[in-house]
Amino acid sequence: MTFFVKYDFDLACKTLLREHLDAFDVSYSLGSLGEVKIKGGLSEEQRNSLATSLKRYGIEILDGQKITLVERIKNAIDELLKDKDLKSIKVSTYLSDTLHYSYAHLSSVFSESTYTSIENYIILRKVDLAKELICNTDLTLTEIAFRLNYSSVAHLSGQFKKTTGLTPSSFQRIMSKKIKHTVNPKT
Amino acid sequence: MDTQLLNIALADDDEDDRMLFSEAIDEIGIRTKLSLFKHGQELMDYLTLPNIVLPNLIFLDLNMPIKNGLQCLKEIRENPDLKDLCIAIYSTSSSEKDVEETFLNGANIYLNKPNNFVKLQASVERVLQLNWQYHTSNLNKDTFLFRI
Amino acid sequence: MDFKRIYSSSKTYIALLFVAFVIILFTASMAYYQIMRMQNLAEKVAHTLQVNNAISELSTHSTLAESEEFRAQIQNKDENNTVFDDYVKDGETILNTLEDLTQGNASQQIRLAPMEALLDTLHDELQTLAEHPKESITSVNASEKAKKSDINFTLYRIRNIRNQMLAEERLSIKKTREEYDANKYLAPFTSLLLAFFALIVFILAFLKIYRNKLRIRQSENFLRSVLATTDNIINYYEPIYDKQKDIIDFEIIFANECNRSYLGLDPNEIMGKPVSEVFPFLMLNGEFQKLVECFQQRKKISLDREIFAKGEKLWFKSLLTPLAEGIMVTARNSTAEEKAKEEQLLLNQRLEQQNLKLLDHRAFLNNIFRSIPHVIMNFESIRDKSDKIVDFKILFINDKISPITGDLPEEITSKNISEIFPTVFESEIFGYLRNVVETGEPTSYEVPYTAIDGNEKWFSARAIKLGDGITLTTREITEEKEKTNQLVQLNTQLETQNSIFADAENVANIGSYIWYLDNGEATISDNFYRILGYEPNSFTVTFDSYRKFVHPDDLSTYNLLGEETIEHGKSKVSGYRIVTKQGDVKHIELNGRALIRHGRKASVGVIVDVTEEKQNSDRVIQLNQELSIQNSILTDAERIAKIGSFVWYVGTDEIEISDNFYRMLGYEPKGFEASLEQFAEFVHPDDLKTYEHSIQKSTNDLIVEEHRYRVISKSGEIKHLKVNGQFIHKDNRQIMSGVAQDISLSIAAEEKLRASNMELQHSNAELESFNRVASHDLQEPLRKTQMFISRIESTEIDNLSDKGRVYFKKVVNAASRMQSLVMNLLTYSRIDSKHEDFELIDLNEVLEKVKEDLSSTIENTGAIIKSEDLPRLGGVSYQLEQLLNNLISNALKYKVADVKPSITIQAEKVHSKQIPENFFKRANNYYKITIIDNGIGFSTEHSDKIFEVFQRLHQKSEYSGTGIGLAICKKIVENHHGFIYATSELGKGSAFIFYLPA
Repeated sequence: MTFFVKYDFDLACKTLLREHLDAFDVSYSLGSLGEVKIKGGLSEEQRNSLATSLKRYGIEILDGQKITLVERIKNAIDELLKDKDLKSIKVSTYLSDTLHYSYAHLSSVFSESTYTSIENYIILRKVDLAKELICNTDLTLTEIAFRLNYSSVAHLSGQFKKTTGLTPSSFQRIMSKKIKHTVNPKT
Repeated sequence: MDTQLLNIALADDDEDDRMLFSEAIDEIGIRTKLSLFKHGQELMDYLTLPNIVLPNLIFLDLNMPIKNGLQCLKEIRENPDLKDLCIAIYSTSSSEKDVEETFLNGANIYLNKPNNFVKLQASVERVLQLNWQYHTSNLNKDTFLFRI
Repeated sequence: MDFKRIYSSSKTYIALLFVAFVIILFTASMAYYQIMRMQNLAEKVAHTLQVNNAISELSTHSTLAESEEFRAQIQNKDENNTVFDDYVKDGETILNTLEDLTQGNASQQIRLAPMEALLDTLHDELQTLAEHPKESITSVNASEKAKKSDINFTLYRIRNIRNQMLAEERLSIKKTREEYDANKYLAPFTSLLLAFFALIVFILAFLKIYRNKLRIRQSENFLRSVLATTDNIINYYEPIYDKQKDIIDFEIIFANECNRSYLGLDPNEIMGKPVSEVFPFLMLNGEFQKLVECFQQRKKISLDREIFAKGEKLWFKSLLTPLAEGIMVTARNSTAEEKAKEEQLLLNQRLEQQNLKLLDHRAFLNNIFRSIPHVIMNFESIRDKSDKIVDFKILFINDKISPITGDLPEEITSKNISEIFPTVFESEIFGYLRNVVETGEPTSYEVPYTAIDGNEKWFSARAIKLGDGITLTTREITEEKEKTNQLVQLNTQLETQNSIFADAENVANIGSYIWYLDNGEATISDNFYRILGYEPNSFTVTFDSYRKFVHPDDLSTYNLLGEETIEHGKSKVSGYRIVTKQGDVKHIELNGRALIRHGRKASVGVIVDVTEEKQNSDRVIQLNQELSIQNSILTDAERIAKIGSFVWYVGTDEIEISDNFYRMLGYEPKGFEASLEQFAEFVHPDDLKTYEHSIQKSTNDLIVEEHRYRVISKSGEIKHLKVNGQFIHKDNRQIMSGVAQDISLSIAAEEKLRASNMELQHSNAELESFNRVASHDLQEPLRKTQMFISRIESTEIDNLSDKGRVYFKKVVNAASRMQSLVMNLLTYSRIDSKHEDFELIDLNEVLEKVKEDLSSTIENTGAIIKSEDLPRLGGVSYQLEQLLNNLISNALKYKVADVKPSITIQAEKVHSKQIPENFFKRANNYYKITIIDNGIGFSTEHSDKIFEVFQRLHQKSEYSGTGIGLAICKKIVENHHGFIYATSELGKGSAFIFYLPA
């Protein structure tokens, strides 16, 4: 039997983090951008054991200011894309307001560490979200375009095609075939 | 990225293509280690050796003697140790049939061999970037599908 | 806002105010009355005091008379004595005063009455005393003394009266005092109380009135906002009179905002203007008279009207209401309603038409249902909470149900089958039905049902899924069932008949046998014995022992019968001769069939003694004549249909062939002696084997299969024959009669078709292999060439000589040309005719995309592309894009130098019958898309050639191109089951027209 699940990534991660942090008997709070604050901190041993146990789930404790900053930028962008209310805000303003750095600084740190500009990352992320919506929901392209703050379906299709080399419809076709293919590889 | 060395494998039977590819990748400002394989079997033999460092990204030509790209792709996806590897198809064929078939069998990127060196460089760089983003960012690997 | 409440409450409060006013008035009058009473009392007291005063003066006055000094003074005569006169005057004055004062007091008057007399007496006595002046003082005489005592006595009476009067006055004072005491408290208290009450009422009334005023202000605001926001036009007009006091116009006193939104009139501007100026249309349709009528007769008038405003047709429902000094006009914009009404009307009509159609269909369906004997039912599934089917609802049932169950269709429609056919749940049937809905597989079953007439009837039902339900067709099969039952009965009857049959055999010269094929054992009927000349059961019969009865000449036939029957269960041998015990030769015909009896293979049959019939051949002769007539007809038919017929005496060389068969072989009828051997000469050597095989098969198995072979006619022509035949028994011989048809022509056509099919397949395969070659093998070296070109271009170009650079440039160009050529060929070969990707495509979107792709060329050439609204049609998106792209880029490419290209794209829907061009039209309607340009055009003679691969009309240097573009277009259009062609005249632009199915 094969079946499919839909999951809330954010909720899953937070629940997992809570479960593991609860084991250490410390008081902590979870921020929105993948930030964990622990009162009094952790001993080196505790920290390592937490890192190992979380690694199994693909969760990493980040070191280094730049990487942390890059991660925070990414998380902030995720928030931005998720939150409908933030759509009208300019990205640069939003990022510098949220992370308290100048946008120029954020931009240079980001492209230095990822070889991609923040703008390109946002496009990639938006297209990724569009892909997810195409695969996991029954939303029409128009609805997806609206949800991801594209001015039109054409704009979404154009960016999608430019980024992935595939049109949304052929992507959808391939993915639905792929699902069938995975269920029954013989056909 | 600045701390890591990117491991890349290329399986292509054409010597010229291997050479051009390795020249292209050398001129991209990303620290990489490129392993070259003459055909699919050679690649598979390497991948299934014990205690090797698995490549982060594999470029696969489709038309190869002994074992072709599609066979390799299927084998990699069926092998529990290898199935999560990022695979870019690197082929001359622009036939929709090939594109679709490789995507269905789990290819992440389909890259047409360009007919121009600058384009080759740009394409390879883009593949590396995409791979890096999928490696480090919270992107959905189930829908990791690009045609370049 | 409750206007009525405001209105009625202010009325109450005005009433209350009035009441309060009345109460105050009452209070004031009460107070006045009280004060007046007090004043009265005071006056009474004063009066009493005055009376008392007067009484005391009187008393003093009388008392003075007592005094000696006074008396002396009176008596003093010498002086000019006025004392006495004064005294009398005084007395009179006092008395008068007293009389005046006691005017209203009767009792005092009565008391006072004797007083006057007494005073007069006293005065008289005093007079007397004064007239007798003191003769001597010392001698007080007795008269004087008497006089004095008289005076005293009078005085005493006076005093007495005075005392009575005083007592009376004291009493009056006391009474007044009491009255005063009573009034003293009551008066201020009541007035205070009433004043308070009045004050409260006043305050209340004021508050209420003030609140009402606030409310009224509120409602005024409300009304204002209503006027502002209502979607009705509300205007107030006042009449304008002429000198004769006739209304000649109305002035707009008020107009709300809606005037602006509906009529485009600024309310501020139109206020104060006459109606005739603002709404000229009012004066036209007699509406003005309505306004006047409304105003003068004070009645409400409503009217509907249609006006043109802002270039639109608007509908208004207006209500004229007389109000104050003018009229109020409320106009509601009913345009939408009117439109809706119109639309509804249209819709209604359409619905009606559809209804009629539906009725037609229904009537048709009903007729069908009525005319067929089947019971047709349609059920809808009824599911429980877990989505399991628990029952069915009858949606439809035709009236064939009535004779069975007695139910009327109308009565049981929309009831559940659990209610109507409860037996369904007792049997498997419900399960079948449920299964049909769940799997969608139709099912059939047979079921008994006790009909209304009490008979059990059998039904065969077939259930087919329809929507979420099933259609059940039921047919009564009672009769069929009964037939089966009857068969069983028949069997028993047969047993009985058997014995009868034995007798019958005797009569009809018939014998029957059972012959066990495994060991030759046989039993024959009694009559069979008799036919053989023996008594029944006088010997034991086996296949071999029976042989001795067979005529020696027919022994081979008998043996054949034996062999064939054992092998096949039947034999083509149908008769032989026997020699009876008595030596008579008898003709026997037999007919047997194989069956299994008691587990053994057996042949059961009857034999008939046909000796008599054999001798009687008259009928046969007659039959022959008839046959010959038929034969001549057949001959003609044969010639026309290129058919030859033949008769073959099976197992021999003897054949007869029809005249036309001779002709088919190139001979005159009877042109050679026909025999099997002779015929074999005509058979094509390659087919001889097939031919002989079929002869063999017919001979051995008595089976004719349709077979074909070629013959070579006398003239050497090869003809294809199709042969078929059948066996008949004639003259005691097995013959095969058959026909041979010359199918050379159709074979030739078939051959041709097959050849072209092969060719097609071949070229398809070639194309496919080309596709593969082009997509990989051809591209591979080319790509590498280009790759290295790009390498050289970026790193080595500077090392080349000038000439080398020129050559290199040429290499670059050639390679890129090659590239586009390969790509185009690939595109061409990849347009296959699979239709799985067909989807609904908006050509407008496709055109936009193409324009975007070609935008740089369009900009560079300054081309103008005009297009009509293009249709949506089924197709393959990328192919249609390619089509438009190729056609438009062609138009841009083959432009007249220095002239801006102008491209016009037209589309129209045409019926297939209206299309003059000749192509296979599988759709009823087509879209005709025309792309017209002002380019160089081409001469008409090339109009077909341009759509072929590699056909170029121009030098490469003049116009670049691979010569495949239009071929691709053609292939795409044909792949879409359309047709493309072009018309042009050299130098006058061209038009490319394609039809695509709508």
